[in-house]
Amino acid sequence: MIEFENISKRYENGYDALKHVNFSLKKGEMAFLTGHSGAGKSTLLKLIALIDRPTNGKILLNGHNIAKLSNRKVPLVRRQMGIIFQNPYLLDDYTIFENVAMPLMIAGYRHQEIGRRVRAALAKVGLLKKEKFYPQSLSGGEQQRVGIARAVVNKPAILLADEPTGNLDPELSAEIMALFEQFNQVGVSVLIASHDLALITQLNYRLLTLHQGCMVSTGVKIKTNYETTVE
Amino acid sequence: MKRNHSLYQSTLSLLLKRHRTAILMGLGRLKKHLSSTIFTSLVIAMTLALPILLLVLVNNVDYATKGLTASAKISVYLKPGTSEQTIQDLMHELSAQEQIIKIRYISPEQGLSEFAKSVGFKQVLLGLNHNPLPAVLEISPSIAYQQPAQLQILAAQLRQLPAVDDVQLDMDWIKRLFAILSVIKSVTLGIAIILGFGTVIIVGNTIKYAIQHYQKEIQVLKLIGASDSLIRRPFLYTGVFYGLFGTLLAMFIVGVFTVSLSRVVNNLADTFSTNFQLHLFGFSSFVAFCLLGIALGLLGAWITVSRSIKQC
Ligand SMILES: Nc1ncnc2c1ncn2[C@@H]1O[C@H](COP(=O)(O)OP(=O)(O)O)[C@@H](O)[C@H]1O
Ligand SMILES: [Mg+2]
Repeated sequence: MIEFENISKRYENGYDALKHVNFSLKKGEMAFLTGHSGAGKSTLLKLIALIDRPTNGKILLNGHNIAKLSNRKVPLVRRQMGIIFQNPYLLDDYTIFENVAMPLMIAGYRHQEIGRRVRAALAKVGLLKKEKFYPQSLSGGEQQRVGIARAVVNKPAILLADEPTGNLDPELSAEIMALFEQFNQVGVSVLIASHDLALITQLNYRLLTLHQGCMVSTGVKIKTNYETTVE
Repeated sequence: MKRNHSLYQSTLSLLLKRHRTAILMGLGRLKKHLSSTIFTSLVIAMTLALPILLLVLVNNVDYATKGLTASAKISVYLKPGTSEQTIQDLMHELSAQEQIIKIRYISPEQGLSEFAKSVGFKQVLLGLNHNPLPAVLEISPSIAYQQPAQLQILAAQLRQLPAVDDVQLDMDWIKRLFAILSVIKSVTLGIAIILGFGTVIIVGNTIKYAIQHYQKEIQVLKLIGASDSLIRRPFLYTGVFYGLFGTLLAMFIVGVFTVSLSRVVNNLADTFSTNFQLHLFGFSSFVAFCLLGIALGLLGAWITVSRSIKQC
C-alpha cells in the first residue's frame, strides 16, 4: 500500500528531518510510528499526505510514485486518505454533522447518501446524538472522535493519525485506539504516529521506530531498555 | 479511483451542480456571518457611492448646459425708420432658415412699455417726447444650433443684413458658464476615476478581511482533499454577492441623495429661468454599475482567496 524507498527530507533551513528512510505498510495492516519528540514522525506522515514533499527518494502508493505528483493531483490522493491530527481541526461555525459531511460534499455525493454515511460514521464513534451540536460544546475526547468520523466517512483505504491521543487521558486514549483497531479490522490500513509508548506497547502491532530522522527498527517491538534510553 | 476519474468529465450537469453547491456554500457563509456581511456590504456601498454620485453629477452638468443654451436668444436691432413691410419680409425670410426656430417682433412702442414695466421709470419715460428705442427682432435659435460658436456665426450672418443696425448676443456669460462647467466636469470626472481606483483597493481589502475568517476552513478543506478551484469557487460567489449588494446599496444612497438635492436644484434652475431637473441614472447605467460592482467583488475575492490557498 505505502512504500518508502530511500526517502530523505531536508527542510529549507538545512535541517535533515528524515535520512534515507525505507519501510512499507501492507494493505490492511496497522502499525505505530514511534520515536522521541523531533524524531521526524510528523514529517513522515506529512510526506505521505503530500502536505510536504521529500527532498529525495520515492513514495509508492499502490505502486505509483507520488513523491513528485503535480499539485493539481494532490486532492485526488488526499481523498483516498483519512488524516487525523492531535488537534482535530474542526470548524467552529459548522455543526458536527456538517463537519463530518465535508469530505463527502467535496467529492460530490448526493444529499441522501451524505446523510446516510455521516450518520454511520457518527454512530461508529458514538456521537450520533450530538450531530446538531457545535464543536465548542464537545469535550476534547469527543472532538477528537468527530475528527476521526470525518476522516473515515469517505471510506478511505488508509488512515493516517499524528498523535491522535496527545491531548487525552489514558482511558480516552485507549478508547480512541480501540476505534482505530475497529477500522483496521474492516480492512483499512492504519498508520499512527505516537510517542506514548506506555499506550502502544499494550497493543500488539508492528512498531516503526524513528531516531533522529533514521528508521532504526521496522520490525518487532523495541526492547524495554532501549525505550528508556530513548525517552 | 473510478469516482475520481469521473470528476474530470466536466459534463454540463456536473458543472451546474458544482456551481449550485458553490452558490449555496457562498450564501451559507454570508448568512452565518450576517453582521460581517452587512458591514462589508456597507463599506463597499460607501466607497462606491461617491464615484457613482460624481458620475451622476457630471451627467447632470451635460443636461444642464443643454437646458441653459435653450434659453439663449439673439436680439437684432433694426435701423431706425425701417418700414413695416421690410420688417415683415425680413421676418418671413429669417423664419425660413433652419437655424432659427422662433422670431418675436418687438415694436418700438412695445419695447418702451416693456422697458417701463421692468425698470419702473414709467413717468420719466412717458415724459419723453419721442421714443428712442429701435424695433427689435428677438430670435430663438433652434436646438441643433445652440453651441456658442454656432450662435456667433448666426449673429455674424444677421449683422450682414441691410436692415440690421446691431446684433446683440448675450455670449459672454454663456461662454464663461461653459468654461466653468467644463472645468467642473473634468475635475469631477478626474476625482471619480481616482476614487474608482481607490474603490478597487478598498473593496479588495474589505473582502480580504471578510475572507480571513475562513483561513482555517480553507486549510481543513485542503486537507480533506478539496481542489483549489473547489475551495475558491464559493468565495468568488461571496465576492460577487458583496459587490452586487454593495453596488445596489450605493445606488440607493445616491438615489436618496439626488432626490433630496433636486428641490434645491429646481429653485436654482428657476433663477436661470430654465426648468432643469436633476437626472439619476438610466437603466443601462444601472446595469453597468451592477456589473462593475460584481467585477470588483470578483477581482477582490480572487486575489485574496488565491493568496490564502497558497499560504496553507
Ligand atoms: N517546517 C520545518 N522547517 C524546519 N524544520 C522543521 C520543520 N518542521 C519540522 N522541523 C524539524 O524537523 C524535526 C522533526 O520534526 P517532526 O517531524 O515534527 O518530529 P516529531 O513529529 O517526531 O516530533 C524537528 O527537529 C523539527 O524541529
Ligand atoms: Mg509530531
